[in-house]
Amino acid sequence: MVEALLRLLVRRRPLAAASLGVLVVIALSALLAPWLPLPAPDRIDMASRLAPPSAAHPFGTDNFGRDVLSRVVASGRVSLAIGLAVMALSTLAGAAAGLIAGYYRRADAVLMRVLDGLMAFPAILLAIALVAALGASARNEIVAIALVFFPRTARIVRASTLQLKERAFVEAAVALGGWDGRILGRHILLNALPPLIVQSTFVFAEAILADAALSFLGLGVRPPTPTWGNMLDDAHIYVATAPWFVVFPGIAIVVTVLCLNLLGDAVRDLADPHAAAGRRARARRPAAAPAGVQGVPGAAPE
Amino acid sequence: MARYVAGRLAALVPVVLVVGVTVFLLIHLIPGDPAQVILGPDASAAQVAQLRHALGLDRPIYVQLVLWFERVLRGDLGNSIFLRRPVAQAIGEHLGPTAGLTALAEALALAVAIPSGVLAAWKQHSRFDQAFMLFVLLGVSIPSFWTGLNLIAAFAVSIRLFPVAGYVSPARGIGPWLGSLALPAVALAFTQAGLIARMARDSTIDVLAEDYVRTARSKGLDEAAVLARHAVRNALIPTLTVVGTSLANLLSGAVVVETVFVLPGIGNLVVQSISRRDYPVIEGVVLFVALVYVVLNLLVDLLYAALDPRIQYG
Repeated sequence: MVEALLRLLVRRRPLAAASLGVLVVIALSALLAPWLPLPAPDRIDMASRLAPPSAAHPFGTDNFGRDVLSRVVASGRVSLAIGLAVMALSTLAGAAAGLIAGYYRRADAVLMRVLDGLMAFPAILLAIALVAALGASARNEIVAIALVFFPRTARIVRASTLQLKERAFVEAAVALGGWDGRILGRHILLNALPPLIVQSTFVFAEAILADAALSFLGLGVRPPTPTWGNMLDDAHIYVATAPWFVVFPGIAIVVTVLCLNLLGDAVRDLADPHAAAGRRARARRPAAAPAGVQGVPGAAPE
Repeated sequence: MARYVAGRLAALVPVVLVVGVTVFLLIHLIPGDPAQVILGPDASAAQVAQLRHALGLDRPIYVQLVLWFERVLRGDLGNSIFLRRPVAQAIGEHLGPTAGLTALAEALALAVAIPSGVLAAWKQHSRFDQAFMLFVLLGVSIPSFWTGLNLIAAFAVSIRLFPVAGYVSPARGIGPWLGSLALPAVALAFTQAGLIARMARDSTIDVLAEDYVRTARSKGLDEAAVLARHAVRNALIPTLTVVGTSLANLLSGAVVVETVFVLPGIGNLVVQSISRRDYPVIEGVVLFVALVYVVLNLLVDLLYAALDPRIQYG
């Protein structure tokens, strides 16, 4: 199954397959960071501070003489973990809220108004305000970003649920006396998975961007633990004197997020060959227009 | 049309209520006593009690909520603790740079996005289209503050074309004003241009598949006329919907970009208020931006209905 999917990806979407490869490399390097043959990310060497890229320091050194490559890799551990946690949390909350709203008409009215209200806030600004109130820490940052992103996931799951609950196999399960939990979990959620997985990929990508912005403003994980965002915060005053210090953490963010977006796009198109090209932009910004219900066979927009 | 407008306005009520309650709850999310947190550990018990009273935190929470809504409906966003003046006034003082930056970025984004989106649609699946789609994804994958840092390195440090940072009021000349906003506007516009361009491309593709376009082509109209007269004008209507969203994204993105370029806008105001623990200002700005977003989306919807009469019956 996985092998067949990979083969399909390589044949039909070579760029996305390459993105997957790059993501695997990034994830492995983050996972194995402590065992890689790199200088320790927190080893201070004031004698070689702000040194340009060289054989000893391929990405140069920072304002404390620390190796930028080691720090970019070590940051990846933190930034990717935060992205994953946000993705997990907002997918769980979004799936639960979407299933309930889509299945129970009464809950729908209240729940959707609340979600609409939350979506009226520009994402980053609400996350900033939440962290400002809760206090800067990894946990609070994850909760804040997840809270900002889960309504979009909920909308997508709700749209799928609304479609699926009218289908004959769901009606049959209801007629057979299946209890709601089983119907929602087994018949509806499983069939709503493709668009949910695609959306999760985009949430992962956006969470990494949000984490970068919050860390840059000093609202994420605080130094000495490095993240891509707080590295850029340290680096930005050296933009004229040590450009490598600014360039490399940023490239790490862009490459990771771009690969996630390329992969998400490709999976969506492969999961739903019917999705017209025209539906793409709308599906990506569920807040702006009816969410795409890609991946649900025979589904049409709300 | 009047019924449609009334319906849209009525639908706003729950949204605005949720927005209000969320902003109201922000200060209550502060762990411990908000008044103590705001004043810091050195404040005396009397000072804390006084601030708690001034913020109304000594009353039951439902009373606070009602009083808060009453106050906000009068246009009173409370008072800044640090700046010692009404929050609304502080927002007004910082609105200029943010409004200028947002407008400039939106104009830049539209100027680039619509022609390139239409062209990509017309040449669908071509090399240009593929490169275009990659650029669009790149746009949404780049943190705008990082683009800003790179632009500073390139166009303010290496080539001294623009100032590194700082804001020049338009009263001191349009040229210097534009110069001070050019780099941050480009940094912000890149992401939004991607989103708008993709919408322009996709809706142009939809329109190009319509019967009336085929009719126009089969009666011998040349491609330029088909695009200009039939396709683009109709494709722009769906594209309009993303303009409202993108303006809101720009306002939100401006928070971070203003910090990079040291522009004294409302983003900078928020970031400074966080380090000053000036929560009434944070609340006020978040509420203000959310309401701007709600109003912009309403205007876009109404404009959409006015441009495309089919909407009302949908």
